[in-house]
Amino acid sequence: MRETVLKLHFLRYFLLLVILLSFSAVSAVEPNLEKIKSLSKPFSELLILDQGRYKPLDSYAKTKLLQFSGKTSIKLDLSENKTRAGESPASKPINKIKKINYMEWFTAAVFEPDSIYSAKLFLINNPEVLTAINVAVDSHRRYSYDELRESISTLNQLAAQAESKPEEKRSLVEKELIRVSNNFHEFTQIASSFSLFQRKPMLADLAKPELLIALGINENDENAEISLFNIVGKASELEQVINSASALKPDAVKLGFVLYSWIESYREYLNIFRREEVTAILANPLPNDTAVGQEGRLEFVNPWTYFYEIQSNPDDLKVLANASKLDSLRYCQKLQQAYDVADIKVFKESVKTLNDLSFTYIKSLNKSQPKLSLELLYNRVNPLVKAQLLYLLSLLLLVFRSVTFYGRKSSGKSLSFLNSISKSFEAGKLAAIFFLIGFALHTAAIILRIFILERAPVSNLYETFVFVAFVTALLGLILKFITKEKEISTFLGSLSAFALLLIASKFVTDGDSMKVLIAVLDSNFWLSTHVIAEMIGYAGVSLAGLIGHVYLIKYLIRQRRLSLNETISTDEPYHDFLISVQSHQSFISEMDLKFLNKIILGMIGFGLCFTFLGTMLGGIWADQSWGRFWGWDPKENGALLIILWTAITLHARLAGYIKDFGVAIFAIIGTMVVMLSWFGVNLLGVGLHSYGFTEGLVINLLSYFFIEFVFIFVVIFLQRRFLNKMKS
Amino acid sequence: MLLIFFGTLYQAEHGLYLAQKKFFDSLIIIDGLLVLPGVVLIMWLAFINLTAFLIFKFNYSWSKLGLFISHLGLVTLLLGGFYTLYYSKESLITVREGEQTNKAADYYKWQVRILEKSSEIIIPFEIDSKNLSNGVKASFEKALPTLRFEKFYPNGQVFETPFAGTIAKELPLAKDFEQNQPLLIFTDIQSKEKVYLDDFNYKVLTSKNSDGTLNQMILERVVSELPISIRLEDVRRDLHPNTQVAKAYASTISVLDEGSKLSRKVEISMNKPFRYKDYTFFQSSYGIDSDGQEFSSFAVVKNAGRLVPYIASFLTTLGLIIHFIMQFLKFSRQRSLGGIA
Repeated sequence: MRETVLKLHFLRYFLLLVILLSFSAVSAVEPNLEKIKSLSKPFSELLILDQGRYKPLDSYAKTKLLQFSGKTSIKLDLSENKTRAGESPASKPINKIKKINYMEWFTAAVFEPDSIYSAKLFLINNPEVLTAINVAVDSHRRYSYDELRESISTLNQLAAQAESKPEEKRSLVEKELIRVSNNFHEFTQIASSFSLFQRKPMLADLAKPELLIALGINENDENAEISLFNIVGKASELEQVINSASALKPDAVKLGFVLYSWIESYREYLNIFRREEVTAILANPLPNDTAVGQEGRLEFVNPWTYFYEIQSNPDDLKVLANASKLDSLRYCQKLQQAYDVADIKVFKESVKTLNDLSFTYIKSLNKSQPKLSLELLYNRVNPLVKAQLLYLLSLLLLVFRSVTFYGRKSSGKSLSFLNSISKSFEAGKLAAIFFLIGFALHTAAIILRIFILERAPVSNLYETFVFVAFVTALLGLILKFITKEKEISTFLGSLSAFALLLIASKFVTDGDSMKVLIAVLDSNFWLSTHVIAEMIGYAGVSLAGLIGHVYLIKYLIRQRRLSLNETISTDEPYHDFLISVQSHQSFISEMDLKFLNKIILGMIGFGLCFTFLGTMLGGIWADQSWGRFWGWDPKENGALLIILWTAITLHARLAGYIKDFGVAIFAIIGTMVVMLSWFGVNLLGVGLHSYGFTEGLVINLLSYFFIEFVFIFVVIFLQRRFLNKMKS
Repeated sequence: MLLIFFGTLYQAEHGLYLAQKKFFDSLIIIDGLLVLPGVVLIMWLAFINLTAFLIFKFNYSWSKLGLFISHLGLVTLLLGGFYTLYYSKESLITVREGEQTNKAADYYKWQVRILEKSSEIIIPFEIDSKNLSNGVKASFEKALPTLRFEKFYPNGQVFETPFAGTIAKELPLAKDFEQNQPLLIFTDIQSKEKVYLDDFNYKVLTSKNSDGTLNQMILERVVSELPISIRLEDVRRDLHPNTQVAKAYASTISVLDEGSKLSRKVEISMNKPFRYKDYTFFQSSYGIDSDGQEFSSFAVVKNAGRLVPYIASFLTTLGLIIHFIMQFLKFSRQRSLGGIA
């Protein structure tokens, strides 16, 4: 009996808080950019748990913006919202487009979501999706929350329909529909995660004076704003008021109806938290008596998750009242309050307290402390992007230098301007410096990743490309010291590292690049020996292929020169170019080519050693964990292909089937074999990356193969032609 | 000789692209009009070729030490491969928590066990071809005189339908070969009724003997007894926090040696198998059965030659590295002498 009475009381009080929250019409709020900017930095330091890994909010925000829009910054169009009543339109500039970074975007989304609903957030590649959901196609391919909100029910239905099909039978449009729908929901989740603490005006007719007093609000202030969390905090006071004031009781039926619709409106939203992969906005534990410790239950939660507990079990209503006394939630509320009044000091302190709570909790679990500051440093410096840029600069300088270098020899007038520039500084040296700084940053990035993740930096495609790029740059550096051929070494190092980092950067939109490992991969020893040896092998063979290109081009230039007569008639098209080629030729000697050939062979041998070592270590690992040394799985076959191909190259040369020219071509094919083996698993395992990524990969890989084949055929064709000419 | 070597390697490459189990384990592959040597055949040829090369043609000198070692390593690797191919045995033990067993089930081989009053007949068969061999058919006829063998499905299922009675349906072969559930169909000679034999819940079928006694028939995976029995004490599954991504699986087992009464506790986890003589036990899967009981499956591999590839790959890698370093030294000496500038 007592229990039912208690339940009734709680029910009543619950009804009330529902009603007190008003869902007044959303009016677009203009974001206060300065405030967002100053608060986004401390906010980025908040520790959270996402996809099984503790990380700063910064990483999460970046991943999410990349996932939604494919970029790390977003443009806010402030010109549309500016004309408010009472303001003269002329007082503001007409086109005011501001770019904000991912963390500023995330801060606004959490604390003031209304302000960025009009930002073009969602990337939709396929125009058919837009036609299907009745949204006008935009040339920038990005659409705002406001634009999509109207059509969200259509989008959801279509996505649900597509999802009911088996994965391999979904069309591209269907995959895109699912992706966009999921992104929309994830954004909704982020944007409403702090709505618990956001103050809204109360509905005037329900603001009874007794309740206002109980809530600690001036009874005459009918427009007072209050958050759901405030009401929760006053739970016992409200209960007393309801029990004593009989005037409130007849409203019960009306209140019941509102309760029902409130739960309905949040049901879908709350259900999101029951998905297997839970996105946690906060890294703070629930109290012991609810969820901690039980297998399969949530350890870390979004503030709203408390309300799920209540919805699923009305007996747990007490949890809600207790929740208001939880430190983690109180400090979340403080965050929101500090944001509202732009109090940086309180905001920073709240973040710190929340982090301390999380650290203490993690410590109590005997888990290693997350490397929060290192990861923040990594995110802020963003060393890989900078290294990539430096490699590119070094590359451009070298190209520029060789143009002016040969131009000088040809004494062409048009190049005199460039000559004077190149004389004024040593382009080659500058390029080497850029390359070295880039390499240092690259090294730093890899070392930071090792410290942050406490494992070898080679556990997903993105990381392998970064690592192989690093090894090729290192090989370039080693070549430089051994051979004293500075420029070509710098050139090779920069080119390969740049190209591989470019490929790596395509994977950034793929989600967090620091994902947790599945059980079978979770072995530091094997991961660091087997995969790294394999990757070093990849680097060697890739570099051999790259040098193969250089060799062939130089070879052709030389052949061209030899096949031509000493005098070139001015009637010949490309006269200037031929002159320069002719003079260039004097720098390509037989020795030059021989040298390149030796390096190719060395790289192939190097690659063979390491690929073999890596593959055998892999075999041993497989024997240790699955009980078989070799199982003909695609990745193993890929590695075997590389070994066989490099072995064939070396043997064929030994047997005299191919000469230096052939070795270069074989080396290029070797790189293709490496790529095939590298991506092989992803090509076969469709569905690992479910957002149209694999399709793009196939096309890129095929076009790469196509270009290489064309290159090889053209080279062989030209070679034959020159040889014939020379004979005749 | 080298030509054969290259030819075979090229062939091997063509083979690898198809990436099919049968491709690798057979001597000759016939696919329509295309006849290719199987990978095993190529490996044998490569083995003979390499051995012959090392014995007769190899130009023994210190400068080729690395090459010699690496090729010797390859020969050893191939030998180890052949040994494993022909002599290793893989099977699977599934134990529920708190239970004990010494029986391991084969992945691919099945058998029909016919229990007579006093004796037991076992008819093993393989499910990789659609037809049973005549030998197996004959032994069915002999052991089950009242039944006539009708059909065999490597992967089949029996349905009970309300109107058409029992229906057998053939399913496509599962990608994971061990998931196939074979189905045997007989006709009772007297009553003309169909008799289905599958392993669903180890359903026991009976057939009458001519003298009226009953035989029991059981379809099951070929079971082999291990020299030790294991008892599953505890299974654990760790997840990455807040996800369903497994971080680790581990089982604690008690190992009981045959004959001895003492048992010892061992923990098996991913990447940490338990070894006993030629046997190795690996954590293979984890689950909860319909009774809510946790169970753990262990892959059991018997391979006396499991160390051979270790030695072989060590040799080959060593040889390659020696050769590479020697070549490299030669190259830098040439450069420092100004041979190539």
